[in-house]
Formats: sequence, C-alpha cells, structure tokens
Amino acid sequence: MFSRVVLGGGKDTCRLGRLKLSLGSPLGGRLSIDFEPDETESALSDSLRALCRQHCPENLAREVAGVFPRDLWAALSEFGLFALATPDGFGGVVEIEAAGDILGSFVAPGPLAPTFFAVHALPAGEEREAVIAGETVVSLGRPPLMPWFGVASVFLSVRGDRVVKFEEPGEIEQVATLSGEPWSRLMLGPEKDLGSAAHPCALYDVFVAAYLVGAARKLVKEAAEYVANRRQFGKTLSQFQAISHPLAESSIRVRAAGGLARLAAHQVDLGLERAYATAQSARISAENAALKAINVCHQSYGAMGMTEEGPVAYVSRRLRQLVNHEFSDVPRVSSIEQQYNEHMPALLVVAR
Amino acid sequence: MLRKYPTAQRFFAGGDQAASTALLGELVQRNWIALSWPTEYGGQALPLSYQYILWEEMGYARGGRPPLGAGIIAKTIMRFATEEQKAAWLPKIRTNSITFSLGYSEPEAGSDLTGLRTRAELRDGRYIVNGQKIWGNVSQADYIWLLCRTGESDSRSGGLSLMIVDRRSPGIEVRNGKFFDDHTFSQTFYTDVVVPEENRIGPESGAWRMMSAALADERHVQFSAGRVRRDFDDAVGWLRTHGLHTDPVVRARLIALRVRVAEAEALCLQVLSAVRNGKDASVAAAANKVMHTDVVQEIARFVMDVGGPDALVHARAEDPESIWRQTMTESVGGGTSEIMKSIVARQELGLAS
Repeated sequence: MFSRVVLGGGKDTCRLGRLKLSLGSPLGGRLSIDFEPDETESALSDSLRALCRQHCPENLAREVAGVFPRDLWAALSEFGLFALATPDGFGGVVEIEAAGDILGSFVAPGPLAPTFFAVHALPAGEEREAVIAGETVVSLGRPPLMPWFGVASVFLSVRGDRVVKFEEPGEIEQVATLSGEPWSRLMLGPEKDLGSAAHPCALYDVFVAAYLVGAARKLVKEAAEYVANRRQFGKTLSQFQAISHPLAESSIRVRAAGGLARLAAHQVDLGLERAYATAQSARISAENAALKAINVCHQSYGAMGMTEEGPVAYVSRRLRQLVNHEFSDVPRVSSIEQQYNEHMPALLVVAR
Repeated sequence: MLRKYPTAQRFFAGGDQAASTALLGELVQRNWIALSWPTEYGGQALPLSYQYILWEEMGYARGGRPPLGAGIIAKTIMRFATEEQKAAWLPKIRTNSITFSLGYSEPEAGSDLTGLRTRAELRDGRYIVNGQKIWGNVSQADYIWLLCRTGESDSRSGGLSLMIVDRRSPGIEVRNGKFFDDHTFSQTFYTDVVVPEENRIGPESGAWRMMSAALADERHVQFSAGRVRRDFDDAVGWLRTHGLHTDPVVRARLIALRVRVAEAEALCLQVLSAVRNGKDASVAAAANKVMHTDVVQEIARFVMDVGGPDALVHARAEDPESIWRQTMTESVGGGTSEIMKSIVARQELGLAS
C-alpha cells in the first residue's frame, strides 16, 4: 500500500571532476534524498491515520489496565501493517518508519515493534503468517522479564547476535509496569536459534525511533497550543522565551531524530551495511528527543502537566516504557560501539 | 583536489592562509564556486546537491565555508539587481577577483537588525552614509555588502536597503580587534561616505524580503555536516593520541556524540531536501543551525573536559583549545541560537516567541 521514496539517480549522481562525491554518511554514497512524502505515501498515511482515529481513540491509548487492544490489532492486521517489507507484503522499511510515526502520534498500545521484529525473525510458515494476520501475539523481552504472558504465544529474545525463541515458558509471577503493560517473570523452557538478529533488530530500531518521534511531536505540538492560549502575568505563556524555547529545542531534537529514522529506513531498504548503525543511532536519537519532550511538556502545563488525567502522563508512561524496554543480553553501548567500529570509520580509531 | 592542500583551513585563525587561498583559487579555476549558478551568469546550473557535496567535503577538509560573494550576495544580485548591475558584479564575483564583508550588525542592533541606525540619504544621485557597523573582518574585503536605513527612523524592516560599498571609500574607518577565537573583529565607522545610487541592489527600502530569500538559498551549505564530522573525528584522534580512548566513560560519551553528529547530518539533508523541492526551508535551516552549533560545542567541550592540562596546549590551529574557542562563536555568528529557536517556535509551533 505504501510507495517508496526514490533515492538518488538522475543528474545528482554524476561526478564533480575528481572530487570524491560520497557524502560518507547517512546515504552511504547516495547523493540525494527526499524527506517530502510523495502523493501515494501521503494518501496511505492518511488511511492509517483514519484507521487510528476509528480504532485507537485516546481512551484506548490512555488504558493502563494492561488489556490487549484486540480491535486495534485486528484492524491493523487487516490493513496489512505487519506484512510491510515482507516478500508477500507491500512497501519497505521506509513504510514501516512512516507507519511508526503515525502510530506514535496516536500513542497506540500493544507490542507493535516486537511484532515487526518477529515477522522478520521467524522462519516462513504458519506461525509467521499467524503473527502477520494478528492471530498470534508476540512477547519480546530479556528473560526472565517478558511482556504479554497470557496473551502472547511466541516468546523471543536476543542472545549475542542471534534471535532465540523459547518454548513453553511458565509464569513465576506477574509484575505491574509503568505503562500498564502486563509483564511477568517467566520460567523459560528450551530455546531455539532463529538466526541472525541484525535485520530484525534494525526494523525494531527504526519502528521504535519513528514511534517515539511521532508521539514526541504530538506532545510538543499540544503543549505549544496550550502555552499559546494560557495567560499568566498578563500575557500568553508562549511570550516567555523560558517557555517557548525549550519547546522549540524539543521540536528540533524531534525533527532530527525523525530525519535520522527515515535515513535509517532508506539504508535498510538499500541493504547498506551501515544501516544497522544508523538504525541504532536513530533509536538513541529518538529516545533522547522523546525523554526531553516528556520533561519539557510536563513542565509546560504546570499543575495539569503533573496530573494522571492531564495530557502528558499517559504518553510519558508509554514512551518511558518503550525507551527502557530491552530484549538482548548484550549491553546496548557494546552493541552500538561494535556497529560503529565495523561500519563507521571514525570510531574504528577508538577501538583499535 | 583537497589532498593537494592538506594544510588549508579557514575555520581557525592561524591556519595556512596561503594554502587556503590556493585552494579557493583552484575552486574558482574549476568554476566550482558557481556550481549552481545559472549558465547565463557563467555558472554550471548543476543541482543543489552538487553545491551541498562540495561544501560538505570542504567543511570536512577544513577548507572553509562558501565565500559570501558567490553565495548570499550573488544570489541576491541575480534575483533583484538590474541587468547592468548583474553585468558589473557577477563576473567579478564568480572569478573571486573581488571579496566582500557583510555590513549588517551594529552596536545597538545585533540580532534585531530591524532596529539598525546606519543611515543612507539620497542626495543628487548618490547616497551619503553615516553610522557604525560591527562584526566580521572588513579590513581584508574589497567591498561591504551594507544593510542600512533609507526609510524613516521608525520604519523598522520596511525602511532598509542593501548597497555595495567600496571599502576604500573616503570616510570609512576600520578599527580591528579580535574575536575570542583570534579571528579579526572589525568595527567600521562611516562618516559621510559617498555611495553611487547604482550601487543599491533592489528597491530602496525593500531589502528585508531580499535578505530572507538569499539566506534561504544558502543555509544548506553554510552550516555543513562535514565540519561537524571532522570535529568529531579530530576529537577521537586527539583522545587516542593522548591515551584516553580506552576509558569506558570516554567511549560511552563518544557513542552519544556520534549519534549527535548523525542528527546534525540528518538535519542538514532535510534543509537540502526542502530547498531542492522548492519548499520553505527556514524552519529546517534554523533547526540545522542550532543543531550544528550545539554539536560542535558539545564535542569541543567534551575534549576540554576530559583532556586535562594537555588540552590547554596551543601548538596548532586545530588543537582542542582553539576549536573550543572557535565553537563559541558559532552560536552567535550567522544568527544567534536564540533567534533560530524563536524562528522554530514561531513558524513551526505557532508561538509568539
């Protein structure tokens, strides 16, 4: 359903005499990129937004009781969301990125990123098809703490650079979590190696980055509307730079993270080696942007920003949970450093 | 080509000026400073991507930023000048046979240029200019691209004009001082300076719109990601040389900084994308300027933080203390970070900032 943004090509890829043309950075040698969505992408993004308006109202996003969003899941599956970038589906990782941004702007609940991870980690077969169809729910975590026990029937994690699948886990205890997602400590059964984690991890990173960007942008825009109307000391809050500039700074960070997420998506679609490092960078960038936006927006609303019923708390909980969620036994810093060492010359110097 | 001039650098004072000048000369010889100029003005009419790549590479090589003449000034002349003015100025700019300095800021009008007081009065076909400007190195320029008031004193942005002033004109006095980074900082005094009316570019009192258009043209190359990446690579090199690269805290912080460099790259490409698509790039450009500045300052500050006494030694133009001082000027030159944030607040978020 989504179309790809075309990269490079045409006159832009010619050489300038003997000048080395490679940008040496995000596009991995490609020279042009279009951040503007084309008509098809815009239309399809509109369709996903319409779906979310119908199936992901704010009260669902605010749900903290840990109920699995079955209606939304069915609608997203029917839309073809989880088939994105698969051989039988449509679009590529750029479309996953675009969808992540929209779902983030609705603060959509459920194991969205883990589902993309699973679709690209599981071998072709009935189980994978059931995940794409929304009939099988995925739990992706770092054992023993795993989400969605009781709803999920596929349990995945990452060991080193491999995806592993656990069979027949048993529950030890349920735990409450920040966003209300039901998590459990599990007794894990035998595990099965599903292959390299690199590609599924990159898709996870791109989706999460985009989701965080979409949600953080929503937070900042809503806070901006609030401070543009709220009057104190005889003028609107927005007339105080102490209020407006932190929001502008947040907006800049969100914009940068969004750009990086899109670049990462393009690189994954192009099969560039450096894509994994860029995807990790995009996720880190989006996490930082989202956490900054959370702080700024809580503060911008004053007392209402501190209430559970206010416009920030439920987003704040969801984003913080997403930022903290891990599913690998390799510390992230080590993983990122390894990627940079292999694919980004600058840090090669640091490591060796 | 850049490898021929390994010592050329224009970002930090004290660099090899002869090599920098030779590098610029070769760019001129290849007609690369007019890559995106239309062919009717002697340019190559190549896509903006070419300009982006050139100045990305120049930034990484420390070769410098685009010359003001070939960038902001030439674009304004192409768009707003008369045919006679285009014929008079563009060939000389394209061949770099004349150089410019900007005459915008004043002691009482820095970020708020609409409040500037330097006044030009038209008398008998010539302007008489009186006032004072600050910023930039005027003493090495042939001409000053002067923004001055031709309207009433309270006319704000509606009463400003742009004109080209010969720096050697009688009545111009330049007093040089130093920026924090050792670059020259000029104060320029104008006393009854005569400027021919034909040196005014565009309509009288119509400069504000012209300036905005020219800035939007150039913002994707003025603050290139290449310079940011080079600062990072140099920081890594320096830390390695001084045995600090194995410290896990240093390594973790470098990872975080590398992500910040990638953010600067992403924003730079967004500006290019907007300009190429004919979209308003002002918000993207303002965001890029803030990010560019923040990241180079963070990198420089980090090296100073962990570098201890070794980071204080000044032996080369690109040593940490020199970079640290230079990056301080980045958040003021070309529009302060506060102004850039206000642009984002106003135009993207709808805030009356």
